[in-house]
Amino acid sequence: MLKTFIKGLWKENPVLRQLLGMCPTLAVTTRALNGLSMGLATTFVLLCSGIIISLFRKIIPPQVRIPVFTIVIATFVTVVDIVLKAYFPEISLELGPYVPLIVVNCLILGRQEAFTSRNPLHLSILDTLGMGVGFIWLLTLLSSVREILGSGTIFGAAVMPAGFENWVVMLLPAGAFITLGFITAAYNFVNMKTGSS
Amino acid sequence: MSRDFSPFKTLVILASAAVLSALVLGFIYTASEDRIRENRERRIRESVYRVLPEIDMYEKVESEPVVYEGRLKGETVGFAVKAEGMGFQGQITVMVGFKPSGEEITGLDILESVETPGLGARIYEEEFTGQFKELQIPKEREIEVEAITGATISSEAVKKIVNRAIKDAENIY
Repeated sequence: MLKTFIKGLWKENPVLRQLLGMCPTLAVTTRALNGLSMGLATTFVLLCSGIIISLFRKIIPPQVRIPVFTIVIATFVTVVDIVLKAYFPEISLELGPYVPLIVVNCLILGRQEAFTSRNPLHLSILDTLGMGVGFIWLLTLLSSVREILGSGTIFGAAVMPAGFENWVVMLLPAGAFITLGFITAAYNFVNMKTGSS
Repeated sequence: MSRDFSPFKTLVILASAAVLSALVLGFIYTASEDRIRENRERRIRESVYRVLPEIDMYEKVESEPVVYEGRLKGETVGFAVKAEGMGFQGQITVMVGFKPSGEEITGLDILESVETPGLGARIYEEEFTGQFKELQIPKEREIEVEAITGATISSEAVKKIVNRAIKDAENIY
């Protein structure tokens, strides 16, 4: 049962292994705080949708399952959007249009199709949580690297020596691709060495 | 997965999902509406006080464009004009403060933008907005400021928006 949770962290990491949810991964990871917030928001939507869909999986007609999943996901995304606007206006301004865009994050719909719509509640909770945490750590790592090299700070606190020249490219889309490329390469290298792929 | 659902049942389930979703969202929206409006108003209030630091109260006097009249002990000491325009990636919204004579910009505050973090987003920094503090408006009614290195487009965009605000403000003195 623990395996259901653990697999999302590394072996089936949504970004590194399944290459899902690339749009927010690349777009919002310019600062560590943004990456972490996007990870948390996505995990909340993933978990809540997973719970509802797993509970109602037996009465959702297969012919209309995708529209039903989409309604459930869109509902929770809108909840996140409203709550951020009301209680965390700064984060809401930073993430801007990327919060409503969580609706089309294929990671979320993908988990409903592949897992929660055919598994009992407790396993669905573990699966979506595992995938969510896998998404959070990857986004936080990626955005930390970009913030350190691109702005010389992490979570807004200066970490680089005074003479450090910021690598502006790290803040541009190219920086996201480069960093993700290196992280994915390191991931595959570790898997190759340990023979776990 | 091969369970059979009659078309009617399918329709009912899909419709109930939609209705339930609408109910939940309606409830959450109503519960948060006031706070969202408050946040927006607080942002405007902070901004007006930032561009017109002398005032002790202000009042909205026009809405097209949005103009706030700032007063100190009942006397008009400045106007804050909200202006917007295209930046590098999207809309930039700013608040510009003017002396009632229309000869001086008292300050600038960036309200909203989607400029690139670390580059264009540096228009928020004091180093840039500070140039608009107590800035005399020349005869030709167009100001010049120094652009941020690496963010020329965003800097020029803000300058253009401010220049448009100068024109807009001419009708209010």
